Amino acid sequence: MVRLSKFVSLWLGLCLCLALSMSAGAATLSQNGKGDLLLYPVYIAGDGVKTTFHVVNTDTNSSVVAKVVLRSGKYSQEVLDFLIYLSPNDKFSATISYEDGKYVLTSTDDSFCASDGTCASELNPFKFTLKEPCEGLTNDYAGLGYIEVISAGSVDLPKESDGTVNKSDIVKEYWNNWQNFKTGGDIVDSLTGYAEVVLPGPDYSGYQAVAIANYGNNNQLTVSSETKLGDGAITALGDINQSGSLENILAKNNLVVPVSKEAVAIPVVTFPTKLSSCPYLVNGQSTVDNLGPFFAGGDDNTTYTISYYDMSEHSTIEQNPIVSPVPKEAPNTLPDELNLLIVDYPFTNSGGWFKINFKKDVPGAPLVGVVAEFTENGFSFIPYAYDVPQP
Amino acid sequence: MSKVDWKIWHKGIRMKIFGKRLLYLGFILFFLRSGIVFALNIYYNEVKISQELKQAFQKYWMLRSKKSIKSLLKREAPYIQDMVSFERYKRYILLYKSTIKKIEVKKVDCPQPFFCAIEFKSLWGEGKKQQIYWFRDLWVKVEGKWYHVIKNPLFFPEIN
Repeated sequence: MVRLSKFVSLWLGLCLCLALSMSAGAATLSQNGKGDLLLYPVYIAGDGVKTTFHVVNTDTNSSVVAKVVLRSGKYSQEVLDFLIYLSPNDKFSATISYEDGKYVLTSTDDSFCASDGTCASELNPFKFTLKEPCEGLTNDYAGLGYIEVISAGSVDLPKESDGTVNKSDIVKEYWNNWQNFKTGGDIVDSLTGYAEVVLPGPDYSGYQAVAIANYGNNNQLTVSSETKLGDGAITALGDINQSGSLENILAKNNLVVPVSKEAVAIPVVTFPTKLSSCPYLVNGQSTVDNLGPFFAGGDDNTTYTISYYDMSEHSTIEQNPIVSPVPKEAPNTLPDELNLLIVDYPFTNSGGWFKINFKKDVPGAPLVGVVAEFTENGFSFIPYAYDVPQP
Repeated sequence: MSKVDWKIWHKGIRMKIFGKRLLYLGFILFFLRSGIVFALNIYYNEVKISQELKQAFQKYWMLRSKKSIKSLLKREAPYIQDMVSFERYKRYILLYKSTIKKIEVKKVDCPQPFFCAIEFKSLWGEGKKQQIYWFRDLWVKVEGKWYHVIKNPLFFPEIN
């Protein structure tokens, strides 16, 4: 029997501990805008507003099959899901709008294909109705929500003489030879995305999707079953203290919201890991299950305070303002997956900024978002500056 | 004709021409002000709608096409007038930069006698920039008068 020296035993033990602590996966918030998981914090349709979103495969050799999931804003219900087949250097686009009594997604993009290889085109646009969340029994609706794009896998296929890869080859390979696809940590982190909210003008403002690298889906994704974040991936939903988990890498605090003079600034705060169920009655009480560990136990996990700063006096005020949505209970809470705040900013004559702080047992909350700013020149989406909570 | 007669005659003709021009200008201004020239065309396609609601709907969207913000805000539901500042409402109306040109009402749904939803297809803008947008317009009757209810989750999340 071989006896290990104390030094070697100690070293092996240390390596084992490190390996265990990293078991949540090594996902990171992408610094270059590319990854294998994209999160679009908001889409809006209705009242003349449409949202067009895009997914780009920046890899020059690998084709990527990804699952697109649209979720409702209040209870994170899946209102539509489909697969897209992206050849190298490919781009996919689709528009969400309100039309003839329903919310629809329309695309003429040839990356949008059925499993039989039929793909959308200008002559054959694909149009799908978004499902009513919670069977229409709540005030959740399909016209306001957020989007997830999850890379199922990537594969290198032979190119045509013009350097492109035939779409039908990607579709066939996905359904007939799934074992040839790179999955998990081997999927190329090549997807990037952006969205445009379009108003009659036409006028629009765009934002970049949040990209997570090395999310690492393992399973073949289909539309016959729901895919939730963390399902079948090397990255767990997490909890906020678990390094490399989704909740950990999305954790933010002290969101900075700039406010121009006479402008209206509306922070959009989306919790993609909350994943609520539709409310159901238990003993006469409406109750909601939240899948994300951070949100377990109810809505009091997303309590916030706001500090205001103006331009001239640099004064600060910290208070619990009356804002919308109306908090379910004091102090202020953000009750939904997707929250839009109307803040009674006191310095509209000069402008300035305010800061949103989340307080709980741990600093920060796992979120994605943008600021929608409306000035006399139009409107724009501004990304948040924020603090990354320290463990 | 004497010189004086000619002068009087010439002046008379000039007055006549000037008067006519003034009259024509008056007509043009009248049409412009009334909105007849740049009128919004609204079609009901035999959809049943009460006369009161129809008038309120037409007036609202005519004002919207002219971006008459003060008058428009008075036609929003009373609780919206209380909740929303004029400045924010103005920003909202001015977001819609192009002009609405045509409305085709497709359906009017009144689940309650005091609450109706008007579904319509609309055409905005001119020429190559023309675009179609669908609306589900909400209306509420308060003390015998129909008021419009904004439904824009991005701009008025508290009302949504």
